Amino acid sequence: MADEQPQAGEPGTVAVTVDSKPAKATYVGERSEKQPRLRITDLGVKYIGHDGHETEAVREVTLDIVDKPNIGEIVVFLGPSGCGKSTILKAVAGLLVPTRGEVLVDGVPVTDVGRDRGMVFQAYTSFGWLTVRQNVEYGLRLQGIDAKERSKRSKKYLDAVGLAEFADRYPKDLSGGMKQRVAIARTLINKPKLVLMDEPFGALDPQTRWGMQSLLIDVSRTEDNTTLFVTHDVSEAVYLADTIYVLAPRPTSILHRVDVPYFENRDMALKSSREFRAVEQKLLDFLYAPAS
Amino acid sequence: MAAHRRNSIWSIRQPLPRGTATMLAFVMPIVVLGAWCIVSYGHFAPNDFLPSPTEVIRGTLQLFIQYDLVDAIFVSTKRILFAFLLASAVALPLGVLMGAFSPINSLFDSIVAPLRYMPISAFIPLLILWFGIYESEKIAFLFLGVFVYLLPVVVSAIRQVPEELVQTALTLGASKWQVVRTVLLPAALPEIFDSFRVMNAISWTYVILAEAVNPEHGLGYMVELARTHQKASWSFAGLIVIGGIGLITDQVIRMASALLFRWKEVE
Repeated sequence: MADEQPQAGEPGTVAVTVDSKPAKATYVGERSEKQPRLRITDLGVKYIGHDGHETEAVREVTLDIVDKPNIGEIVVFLGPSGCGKSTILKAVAGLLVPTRGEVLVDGVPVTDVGRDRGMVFQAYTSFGWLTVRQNVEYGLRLQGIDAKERSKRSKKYLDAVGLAEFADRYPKDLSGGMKQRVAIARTLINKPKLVLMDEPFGALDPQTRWGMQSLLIDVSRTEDNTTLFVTHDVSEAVYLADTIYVLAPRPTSILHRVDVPYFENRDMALKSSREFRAVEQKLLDFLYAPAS
Repeated sequence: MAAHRRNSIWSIRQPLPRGTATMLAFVMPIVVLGAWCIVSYGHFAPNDFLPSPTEVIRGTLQLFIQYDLVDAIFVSTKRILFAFLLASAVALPLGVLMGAFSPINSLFDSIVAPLRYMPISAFIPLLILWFGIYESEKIAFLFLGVFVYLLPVVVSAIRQVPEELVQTALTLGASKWQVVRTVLLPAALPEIFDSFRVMNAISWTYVILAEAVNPEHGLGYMVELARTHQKASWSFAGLIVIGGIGLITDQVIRMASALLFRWKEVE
């Protein structure tokens, strides 16, 4: 599988228009001059399972993500199911301690979970005993922000995700897509630097999924944060991403970085356009390049 | 309503029409009552062996009027309630901590786990030795009975809260204590509350055992009276009264649960 060592000179950043031959490669993380929002250096994660067997989930992941000011850009980690993409997110979130390597957010090493790195999961995580509004205000409440200020801020995000009229309902009355909108609003209201999304639309039906993708783009654009979005869905990756990192199967490492061209018009027709398809094809080539 | 596999009342795990279900629920009580009437009124069995329904009603009235059954019910209920509150006061915090923090679980589980396999009635001689034969011994016995059962329920309810909920709360800025208080506890509460129904049933069984020691008051005393007077009709009366109370309290707990946890998703 992806056992080869990183080789200098292999394709790293790939502009889509350049027709480089897809090859099994390891992306060599470039160091930016500016302080990156997120810097991951030689990240490695090994698990010891219940049977005592050791599994290597992540190997030698190195990357810099520089925040674009005043815009919530979306960086997608695209890789096959179960490849360890989520493990990278959890290391960034501080939910697990990496075996080796380091994660820096704005130059500060990640040692614990923190409000500056909010996470949205594939599983529905709405707190069932709280109303939609209380769910969204959860983080503010923890900080001891008073009710008036809380409701002012939650209103903005409830509006943004289109749940204003469901504010006083309980999650049991919501559809899967609506529950994920609660999760997104609840995360964004905390103003995190990084929004970590672990296949958040994975359990939704295609129609809802498309809707959620454009909603995510809409709400992200007005936030000054960076979203790390994990998915195995190529079309979702192209549609959402400013930048895509293509990941190898377990133990996961970065194969390529792809900068997605900016699509002005993100309606559904885009997905069948030639330009969009070309990027998809490129990614598919990378993902399913014959193992050398 | 979902489409059913076959429109037959014998379809596997398919619900019955409401009317049919109610009708069927009445069948067995009527059969049992009918058989009872035939055997007792028809003198197929001696009266002190199987009293007739009229005699059981008479016995019940006797207990209510001459022996103050209402007070007995009150005494037993009070004991159960008190023991239950005590048991909850210990089992809830301990169970939450054990469910949330593995070191605490490892520390206490080694003494609590074996307790579950010890027959609760075998504690009575010890409890008499330690607490005497009056009120405190009865409370201690009931406490033990409920506690031993409640603790593992709390631990497992806390454990079953999905990890994603915990991780979500953590990334939203919750401290460990806040996770316990604002996520684990509210998420586990419906299941813990549900177990109160079983605890209720256990309590009404144990209270008779508890009150068999130096019987002076309570329903256990009534049962003891039936024994010393050799009156089968009083035994029946006691059983029916305890069963009735059990059903009523069970219904109360169910209604309280439905009211408290309206937010809960129904599977």
